[in-house]
Amino acid sequence: MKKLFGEYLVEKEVLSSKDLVGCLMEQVERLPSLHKIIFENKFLDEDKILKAIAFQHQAITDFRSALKHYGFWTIELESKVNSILNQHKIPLGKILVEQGYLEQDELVDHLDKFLSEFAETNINHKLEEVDIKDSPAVAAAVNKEESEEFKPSLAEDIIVSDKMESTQEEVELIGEAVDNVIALDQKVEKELDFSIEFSIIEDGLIQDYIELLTEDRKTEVDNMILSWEKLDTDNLDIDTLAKDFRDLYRELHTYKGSACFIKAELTEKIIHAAEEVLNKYQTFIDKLDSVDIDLMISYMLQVLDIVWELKYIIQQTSSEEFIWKTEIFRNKYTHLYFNLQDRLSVFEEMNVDLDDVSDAF
Amino acid sequence: MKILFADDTELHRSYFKKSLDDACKAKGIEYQLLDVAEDGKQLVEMYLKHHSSGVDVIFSDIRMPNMDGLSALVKIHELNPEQDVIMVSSESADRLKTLNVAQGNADTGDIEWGKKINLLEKVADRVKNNIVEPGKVNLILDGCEKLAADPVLVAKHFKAKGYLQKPYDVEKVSSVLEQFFNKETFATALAK
Repeated sequence: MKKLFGEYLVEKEVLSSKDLVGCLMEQVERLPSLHKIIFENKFLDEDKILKAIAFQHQAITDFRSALKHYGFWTIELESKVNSILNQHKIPLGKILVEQGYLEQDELVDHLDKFLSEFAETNINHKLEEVDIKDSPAVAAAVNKEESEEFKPSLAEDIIVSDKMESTQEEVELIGEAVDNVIALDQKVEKELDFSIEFSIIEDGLIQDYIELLTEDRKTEVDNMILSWEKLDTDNLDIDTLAKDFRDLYRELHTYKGSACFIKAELTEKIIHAAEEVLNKYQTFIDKLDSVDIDLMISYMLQVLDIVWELKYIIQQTSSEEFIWKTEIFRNKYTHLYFNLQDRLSVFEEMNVDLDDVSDAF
Repeated sequence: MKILFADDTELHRSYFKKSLDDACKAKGIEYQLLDVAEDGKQLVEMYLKHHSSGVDVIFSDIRMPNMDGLSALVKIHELNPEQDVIMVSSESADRLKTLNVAQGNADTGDIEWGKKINLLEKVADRVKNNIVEPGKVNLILDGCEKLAADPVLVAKHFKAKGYLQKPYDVEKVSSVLEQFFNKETFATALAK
């Protein structure tokens, strides 16, 4: 049976069971409700939401069941909700540090030891997409209407569950999807095409940097990127998408410039790779198809996640070096970097057809 | 030395001011930072306000909202073709090649460079005449993106006096100022 990181910490007497349950409950509590996700992101119109809520109260059931009753709960909606939940998931590690159970370096140390001991066993279990209806953790989070008696059993479910979802969250320092655990099994053989010089960043510079990269700012940019999921690629609104690309480019450019000032090289390099891809997308915007858009969404969200992870580490340790020593992060970063390079290479074969674009001038 | 400066990011503006101050102190240059703009439109307005009393050099970021630095460059040169403007950015696609081309040492490698410039000149005409045509490219940086044209080389075409690559530091600002005073064709300071 797979070993969960939380279990491991309890066994090693780093935490008590009670402390672990408290942290896991915190993790669940901080997820937004299903109502909030669907309403704020306009995944359903108000009429449908009201209809489902009315049924929920009449039938004394949870909101998701009410949506299913009317056929509103589709695979597409589930996928969108999961995507939002993934963005808001706070990894167990972060909560342990926030609540003072562990220092950052202690966490990394335990994580390294845990992964060395148990990674092979855990990864050999099939990694499945988490089915939201079978996941007690997510079900509880999105259905806050469920009775209080669910919560104690939820904690047990999370601790003893065989679900990979809990394991993923527990082994990640700063939040990622299944890919990151898979990355452990996929040794990246290529070396990065740049060398990194880590430096200790002055406190004054860090503060300015932190104030630039706020959570609100990230949410805003994430939401803009996610809005591209709704695009009709057969009938693309080029002007709106072009404006979004320009806004995103300027945003990334600002982060990159600031990262350059504080000599945060990892941040600078990954943003530069993203900028180059985005540049090509801007040039060939009228040739993009749905695959291009999907990849862009995925890569840009990953870039932002990594930039914010690095920001977090800089805030904690005044350097990017610390997290680079973590194999999970290094593999994730390198994987994304090479994906961006691959994407760029697709466009580099293409030339601008001046006859095509000259009308715009 | 009277200077105007434009950058859309507050943090970058403060870094530039510090680097400029340190560089000028080290070289014994007296300077006055006349004004600081947050976008190209503001920069043009500030230039209109200050140019009669003399502006020695303008430092302008390329990527800015409302009006980019390249469009501001064209607009300013419409008012005064002799005005010295040094472009700033963290563009770094092909540093050495761009530098070589900017200094006239090699060609762009782009066989359609001439045609691209011709198209960008049409945009420049609209910028100079304050024309915004629906469905057309109305700003020069947008045109660069559409044509995959290097913004630094386009800046040189539109008679920018140099290029300072971010991040700002004392060394680079000093180097660009020195080249500028020595009347180099296209003063450049790139990140190492």
